[in-house]
Amino acid sequence: MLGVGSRKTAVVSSKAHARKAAGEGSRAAVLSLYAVPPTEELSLQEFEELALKRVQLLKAIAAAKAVGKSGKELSLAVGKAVDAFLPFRATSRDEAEREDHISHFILRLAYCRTEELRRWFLTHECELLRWRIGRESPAAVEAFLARENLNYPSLTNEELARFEAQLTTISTIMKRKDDRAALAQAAESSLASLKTTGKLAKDAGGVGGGIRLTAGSYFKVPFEQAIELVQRRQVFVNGGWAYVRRKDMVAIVVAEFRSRLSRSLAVASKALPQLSEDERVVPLLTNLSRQYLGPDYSKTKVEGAISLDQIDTLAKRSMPLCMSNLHSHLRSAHHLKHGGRRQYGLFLKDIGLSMEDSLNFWRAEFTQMMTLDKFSKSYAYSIRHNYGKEGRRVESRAFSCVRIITANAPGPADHHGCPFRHFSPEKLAHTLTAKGVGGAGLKEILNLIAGHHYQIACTRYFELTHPDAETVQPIEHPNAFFTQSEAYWRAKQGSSGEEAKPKLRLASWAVC
Amino acid sequence: MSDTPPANATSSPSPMSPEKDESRGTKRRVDEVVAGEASQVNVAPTELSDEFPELLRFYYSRLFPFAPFFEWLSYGDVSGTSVAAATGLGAAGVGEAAAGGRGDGMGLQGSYVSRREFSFTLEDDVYIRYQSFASAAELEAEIRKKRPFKIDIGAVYNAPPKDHKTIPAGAFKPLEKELVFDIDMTDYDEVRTCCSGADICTKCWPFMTIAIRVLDTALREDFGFEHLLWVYSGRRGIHCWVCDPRARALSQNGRSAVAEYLNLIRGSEDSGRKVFVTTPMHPSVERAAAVVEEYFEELVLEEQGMFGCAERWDKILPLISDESARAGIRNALIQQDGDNALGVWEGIKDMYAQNSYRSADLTEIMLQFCYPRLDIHVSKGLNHLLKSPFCVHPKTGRVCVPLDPARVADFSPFDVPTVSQLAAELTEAAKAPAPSADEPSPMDVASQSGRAYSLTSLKPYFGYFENVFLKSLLASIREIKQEAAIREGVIDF
Ligand SMILES: [Zn+2]
Repeated sequence: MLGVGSRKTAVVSSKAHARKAAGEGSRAAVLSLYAVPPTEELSLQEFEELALKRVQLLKAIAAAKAVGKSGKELSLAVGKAVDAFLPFRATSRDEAEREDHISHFILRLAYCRTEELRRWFLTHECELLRWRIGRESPAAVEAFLARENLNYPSLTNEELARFEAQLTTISTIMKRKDDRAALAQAAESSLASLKTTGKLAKDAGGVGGGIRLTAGSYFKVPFEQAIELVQRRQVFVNGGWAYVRRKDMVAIVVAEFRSRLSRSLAVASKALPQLSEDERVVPLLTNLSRQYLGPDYSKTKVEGAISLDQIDTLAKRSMPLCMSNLHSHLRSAHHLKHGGRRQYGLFLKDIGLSMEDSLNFWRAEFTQMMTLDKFSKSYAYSIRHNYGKEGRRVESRAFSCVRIITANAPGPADHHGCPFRHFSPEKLAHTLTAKGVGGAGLKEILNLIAGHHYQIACTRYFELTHPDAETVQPIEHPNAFFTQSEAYWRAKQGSSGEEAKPKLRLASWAVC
Repeated sequence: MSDTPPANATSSPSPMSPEKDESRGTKRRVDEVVAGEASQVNVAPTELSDEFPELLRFYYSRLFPFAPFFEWLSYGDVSGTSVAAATGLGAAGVGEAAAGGRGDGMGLQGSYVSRREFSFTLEDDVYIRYQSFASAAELEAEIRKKRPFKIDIGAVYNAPPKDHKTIPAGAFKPLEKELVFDIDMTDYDEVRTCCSGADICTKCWPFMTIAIRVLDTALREDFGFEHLLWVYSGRRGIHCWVCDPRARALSQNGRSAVAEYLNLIRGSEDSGRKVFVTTPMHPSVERAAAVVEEYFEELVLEEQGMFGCAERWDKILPLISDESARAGIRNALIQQDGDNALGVWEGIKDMYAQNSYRSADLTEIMLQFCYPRLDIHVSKGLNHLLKSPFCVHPKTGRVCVPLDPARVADFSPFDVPTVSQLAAELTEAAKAPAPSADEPSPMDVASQSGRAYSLTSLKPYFGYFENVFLKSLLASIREIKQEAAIREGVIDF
């Protein structure tokens, strides 16, 4: 049955199982760009097991990135996840490859259906590949490149002589950048800091900081395939070629994989509707794709559960910092940019603001800055779209913390994102103080964000603003923060018998 | 993402990102009006004489270079696929943006140029998207009939844009477009003192000269592009169309990368330091800095007088990172004898030479005040429309003319003819008699060959386009085709 799907998603290549030949004798881990789909039959049970393993692996990678891990820390986390879910077994290399291969292709089917799923799958598959390449020897990487038909010319001696000055310049820039990154990383833990900075100092002083260039230490890559390096000006570009350092080739290969996989997913998504031959597979795939998104609050919300007149009160007492921040910017500037409209709009939808109320809410603010006509033309559409009343008529779901923290970082005039992740410590401290969080609690939160523990910091913020809350669930979703908070306040009201009916705020919503 | 901007009722996908209107704030301009927005901007020129439509009719019937224009956009293709696709040159650039656009089983319908989107903005503010033309004659007839105030050029799709409604949703896709750059003098308002907004003068035009020199060199040397069409927009900016096959085949991500690589000015209006350079500088930045240095003193210190008063030097001083150095310079400026900007600048350079201040400061100052200010959104989008060369700008009446980057220092926007001037010139030229009774008049000769422009002051601009730009473009396309044919064994030796 997997064979059915595979034919449809096949990427052109006739070199079946070239990996076997090249893998002989090497004890390297699984390394593949998955050019050839599997052809074997497998049981439904194995199908499900393998798929779940890989989903868990990718989820573990996503979680590590969500808490801000990078560099060595991320590498450790990925390694742990691989060991836990798709371990390389020294005794049976073939079996490990088989599992890796099949599970990758099952997830292609599960994650090709929407752009958001594709992006998630792509991002974390790329991270996995990056990790795998990173721990190979140069020889193994070269063998892998050859086997995947990625042949880039290395520099001739003549080119080396011609561009020596430029290449040395880039090397120096990159070395300084790497050193800075290493220092920053080392500063993370004081113990590591002692070791690494000592080593760095030695490096810099010892060999006189000299950089030796050899022709073989560079590859010539068409600039279109080195766009990340080009974009950041981290590569010498001449005559349409990017002169890529050997150690930067990982980025090139990962980018190439990303682009190939992206194309394959697009093809697979078109083939998917015809894949209903085995009806047992479809619900499995659907279920798999749901795995990463966290709970779907659009399914459990009660439309109209909250009304316009409550929003200001709710923003103050029950919304997570990311949302109350958006709310106050909207109230004061009467405008939010795209990212903010989307993050806040979907949140409001899934805590139960009806579409009518939503339209009224945004209109009341935006029309203080623009004509009603402009609002109706430019903004009302996307609000209805959020509710699944426009376009593809699919209701969008509120963003999870992982999504808010990792995707679409806010630009200069943006207010979306996660304050714990995206605010400067000063601004965060200021904001928290305004929310009544100070002293030891504030210090604790700032320490948490210094260690990139954004969600834990948010959870701590919840605890501090909800004293004596019974059991606080770790915050993984803004809507969960909200629900948890509302439950808390309801319980409080119940016990104290206070009437805390929110006051009307007439000034801005009673228009149009 | 699924959150698309509101589509105009008559035209489905908007070519602009949802952020577009916001990010440029008040800087939106008529040049940029695209689908779904035309109704909000008054396209009809208010300052213009009532004669404009009539002059436009004259321009389209006598001077618009339909044949070479169409030949350019045909890129040597009359059959079906582009040269880029035929030779596989495009394959390298296919990234995620184009994923599913090619190779998904849907064949290409019609020649390269017939799949190109044109859009017209008409006199009465009507905006028509998804026009496409199979032949030069068709294009000519339609333009003469509609007499658009503005013509925009969009992407090449997988099917003729005029048929887009007959194609199943999602199957109509942009495949290629020139890599374009848009530089607008409005974006220089914080570094110029002579004019603001839409105005330009001879004091600020050198900013555009710098932009052309810097970008032209980088695009040629770094990226290996050869066919760069530089165009004066007719009012206050310039456009660049990079026409090489590899540039046209670039994915959205590839376009972003090139645009970001070339973009040094970052941050919003209120961020002080907008340029950060590494030490040592990237070779491309270093080369640009050398060009900028040639102009900085005369343009920024003398012409624009950025050291002329406190309000102006307060834009420069924050970029001096050492506090005591900054205080010293401020003092020197306050006490300068009359206008001694150059003297002060020399003093600053000496100070930096003698002390261990952050040496990148001075380069960053020069770059921040002179480096090209790109509207990178225009470059990034595969389906972003850009005003076509050879249009007439409805506000100034000037023709949007190609210009020769090798002679950019000689170009002056004030020499570019207006349509009314052209009408007069052509009337005058018509008076020239035939050499003899049985020979045609010079006007007859020029009109016969479709080159009436050669009798007007358009001659150097249109002549450059036909005889230099187009000629070399077509020659290299022939070469590519020949090589491809040899590779495939079509030609035997
Ligand atoms: Zn001026």
